[in-house]
Amino acid sequence: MKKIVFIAVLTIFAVSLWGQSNELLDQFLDGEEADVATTLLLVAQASGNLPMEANPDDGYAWGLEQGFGKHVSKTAPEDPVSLGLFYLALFDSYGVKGGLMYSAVGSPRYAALEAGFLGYIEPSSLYHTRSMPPYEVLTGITYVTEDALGGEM
Amino acid sequence: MKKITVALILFILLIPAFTLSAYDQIWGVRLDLNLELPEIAGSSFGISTENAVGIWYRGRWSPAANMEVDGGVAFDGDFLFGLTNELKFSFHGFFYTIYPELDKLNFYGNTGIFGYKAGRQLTGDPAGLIIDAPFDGIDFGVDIGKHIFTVGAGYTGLVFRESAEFFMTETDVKRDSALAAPRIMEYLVWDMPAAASWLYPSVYFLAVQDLTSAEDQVAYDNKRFNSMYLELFSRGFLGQSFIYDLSLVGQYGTYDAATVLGGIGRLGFSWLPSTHSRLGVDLIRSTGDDWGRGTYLLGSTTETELSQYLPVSIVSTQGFVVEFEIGNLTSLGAFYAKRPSETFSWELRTTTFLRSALGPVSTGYVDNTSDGYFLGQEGVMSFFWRPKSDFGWDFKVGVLYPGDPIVLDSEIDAYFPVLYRLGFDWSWSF
Repeated sequence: MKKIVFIAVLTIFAVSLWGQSNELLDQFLDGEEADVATTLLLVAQASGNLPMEANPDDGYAWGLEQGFGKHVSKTAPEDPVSLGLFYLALFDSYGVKGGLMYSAVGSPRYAALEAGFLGYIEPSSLYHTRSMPPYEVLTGITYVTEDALGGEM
Repeated sequence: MKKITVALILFILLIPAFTLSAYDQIWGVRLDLNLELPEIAGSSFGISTENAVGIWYRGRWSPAANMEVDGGVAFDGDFLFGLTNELKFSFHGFFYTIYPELDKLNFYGNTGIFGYKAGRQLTGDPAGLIIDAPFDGIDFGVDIGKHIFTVGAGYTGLVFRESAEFFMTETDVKRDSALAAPRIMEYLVWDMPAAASWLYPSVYFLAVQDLTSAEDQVAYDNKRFNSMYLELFSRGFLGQSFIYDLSLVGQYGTYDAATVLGGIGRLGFSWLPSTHSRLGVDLIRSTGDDWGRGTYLLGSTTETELSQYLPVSIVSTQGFVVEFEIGNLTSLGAFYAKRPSETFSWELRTTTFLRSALGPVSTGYVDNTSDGYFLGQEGVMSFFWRPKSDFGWDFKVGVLYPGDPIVLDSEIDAYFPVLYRLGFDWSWSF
């Protein structure tokens, strides 16, 4: 029950924060797994890198142009986004520096380990290759936008 | 033995081929380096180092089917020096050991209220006063509302001796084998995490059967030690700013013609004046024997009633300048810890050490000619810095004012009116 209330609050918060269309978010949240394109779109919009009227294709194209683009290029827009790729895009967008190896290499695995260290992920579900339910993407974005450490580590 | 190992590896490798579900994974590497000085050994003193490098891996097919591996190599060494009669330094040599570590190689998962773990795994009691070591076995848990019941059983004879530290008898230390002494263990645990904010109780029972061979018993003049432990443990908040933990352990065992009846109790109490500081005290008292026992670990003895508490593996050692194992020990400590920033913290601690009975304690500084209960008064200042998520180091400096039972070799005794120790730990995980 708590989880459902938490998801509902996050959804409302996300809509009001990013001004994203209800239709797109509804469609996103209805899926079992978050897709790469919409996830990158939400990350880019939350971090102010894409306008609110952008669409998932814009999000995927934006991701390809970033420093982590080589990891995006290994996926198709409609593929499920991996935990590692999501946190890599999120931390990169918000300038979270993280640990020595994350700063030097910046791979999805290091991003997932960093998210685990920050307490964003339960240790039992810390697999950088796993897919993510859509609400977990919103939760992750909320963690970083709300966390005082975001961008200052 | 080799066949079992090969079959196990094949089983692990073939599982992905038989599953249609997605396979998720993550892995990492850790590097731990340590340096401490001075290390005093007989008439020598020097620098000791304990280091380990390891890799861990976790894979998941589903919540009910996961696997984990955690292993590596440890390297311990001592640079030993001495003083000649002319007060000149002499180098006595570098002595080291290298040994493998394999703490995890198991399958685990949960479905509904049930959970399981099978294979090489770490096991421990809730209070950390009986065992903290790897073993090969199976662990089943069931989560019924506010109650969690766990039952498990396993074997210790295939884990690496130096890393597992199953040291109960002199044979365990002296036997010429890379593997630990063969013992079978069975345990039962009851936890009630949500009983109340001030009460998180656990009850733990462990039975250990010693399978040391007749040849080893003869070779090392030891016997088998079968034992049982019952632990009652509780911790929780008292109000908003106080936390406590209380542990009581009773031990019953048989060793040759002797009956062993021992125990240990621990009480910890802390005040949290703010979210970044902590002031606390802790008290440990365990039972001991007089010198009729012979040695700290069970060896050759003619006694028929023994009282010294003896954990299954080395666990919760006390002290920094001199490290005491928890049998035949009474310690009373007070500490203040503060975390001025997210990356830095420090702790100041003082501890009074006594032995509970006028008999053997774990350190070689106490011999059977010594007298008195007071082992020493220690003060330790610790600094912890973790500037990055994957990198950190600790620095400790400690001084021990030794009691009468602490006796150093006469050649260096004059140079150590008090004992002191510096320690440096460095860790990197990625």
